[in-house]
Amino acid sequence: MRCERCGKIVDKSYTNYNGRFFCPECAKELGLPDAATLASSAFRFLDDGLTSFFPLMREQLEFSPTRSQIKCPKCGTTLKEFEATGNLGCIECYNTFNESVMRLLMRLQADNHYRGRSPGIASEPMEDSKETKEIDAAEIGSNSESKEPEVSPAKEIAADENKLLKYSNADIGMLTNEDLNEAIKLAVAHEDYLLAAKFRDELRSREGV
Amino acid sequence: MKWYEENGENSDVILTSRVVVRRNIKGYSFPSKMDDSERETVQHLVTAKAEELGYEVKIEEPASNIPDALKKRGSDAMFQSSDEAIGAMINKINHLTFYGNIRGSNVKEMFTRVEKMVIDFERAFDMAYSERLGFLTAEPQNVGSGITVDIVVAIPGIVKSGTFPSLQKKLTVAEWRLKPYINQNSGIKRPETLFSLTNVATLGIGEDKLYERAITIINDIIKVERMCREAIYKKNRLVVEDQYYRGYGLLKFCRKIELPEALEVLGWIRFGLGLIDDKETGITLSVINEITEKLCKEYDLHPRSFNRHNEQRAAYIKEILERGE
Repeated sequence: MRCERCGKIVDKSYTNYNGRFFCPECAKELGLPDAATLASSAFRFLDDGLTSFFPLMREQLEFSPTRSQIKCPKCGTTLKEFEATGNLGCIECYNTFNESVMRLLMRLQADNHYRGRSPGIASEPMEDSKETKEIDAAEIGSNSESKEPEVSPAKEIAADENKLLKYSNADIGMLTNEDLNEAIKLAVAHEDYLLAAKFRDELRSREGV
Repeated sequence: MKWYEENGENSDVILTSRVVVRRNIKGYSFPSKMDDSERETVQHLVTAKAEELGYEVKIEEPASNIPDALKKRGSDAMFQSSDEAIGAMINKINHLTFYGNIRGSNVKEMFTRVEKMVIDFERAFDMAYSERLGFLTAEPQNVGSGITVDIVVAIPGIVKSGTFPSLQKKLTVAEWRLKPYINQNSGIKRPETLFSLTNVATLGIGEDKLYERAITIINDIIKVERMCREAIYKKNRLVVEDQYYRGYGLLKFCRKIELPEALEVLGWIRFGLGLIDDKETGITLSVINEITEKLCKEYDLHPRSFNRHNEQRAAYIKEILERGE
């Protein structure tokens, strides 16, 4: 899970406030009690914490009226404008709307650090493409003829499930009668009787029954 | 010769590949917030450099008969190489939107050409750049490398064999996205065979790694697609041949056809091409690609109303088929 304010990955020590999750640092900055205190004295927090907590939160939370009035001092783009169009007006906007931009990047990308080349400097020359394990052609291809090593029962079940998934996603017209018979058996074994009936009907229609 | 007149390698699976690189010059607002003088200055600086580097510069002034309120701000300016394969648009969403196009799978050469062009401009101007976020773009989702690679793939074999979900899962892990070229949001949904493959990440990965990954993915998709086509044909020859000839007949003799249906039928023909020993129709891959490209262009121009003009579509498909025979 990630902190909703800074995007840092948080483990069990998060603070949950009204369904929003914060890391210990952000919780501290916002004036929220830490997770342990919150859990042990949830009701006391409601009494004591609210008055000091809300003015702070008003500045930080997305829905607060003051926050939507944030404006870039250089180009005049407002946060509202950015959220509506998705476009920034100048470089300074990255500082002004840093929090929103970071949140967006956290949602869309796995990383928020640039790891590419510097301006004007060429990157490493590309090597000829090697076969990587990213997309394993043999695994995806339906007719791999390589000999399989002995498989454990758990692997066999997983393989059956994959096979059934493949049959259910395939263009039914492209399946042979043998495929359909196998698909029916697999579907029945996995108690997917609707799917089994679909394959059976196709087989029957081919046999003219 | 223009890039689109070439046939391209492996164009039975990879139709076109496009790379877009976004850059902005430091000291100026992004185009949406530029005033007229800033717009003119940036345009002048960039076009002067482009001419110096030997590119053809094109500037299109807004038409004079359009009322001022409807007029676009500033002129449309761009530059490109003589084969039109690489170039850049000036002051669109970003100051510079570099692009490179190629038919087929030979993307390595195109990446190298585009990178060289981008570096030439990076050396000439101080670009908007931050050590942490990389190249700063007007759309924050592209910040970092500012690069989008977009590859149009035709994969009827992968779809028909049922291996598509597994491929999609693996691409997601590699931070790439495979989405249908056409957004069929209404009417009867036709099976998709034409997809757009794009990278998701612009942060956390360097340009060299991104390009290498693109090449690997392209090669693997070609390999898997061919394996699937051959496997299905070996297993179910009659159905493949039936769909191939049926598809040809439909395209040749229909009087009106919807765009998704035309693409589906083209997928049947593409599937059988090269596998079936066809001595009857005289249909070739370049004809199939020409029709596919025309359909894609039609969709790109009218993405919301692509199901109109069904009669005109049938007529031009017939015309291309007859010309190719």
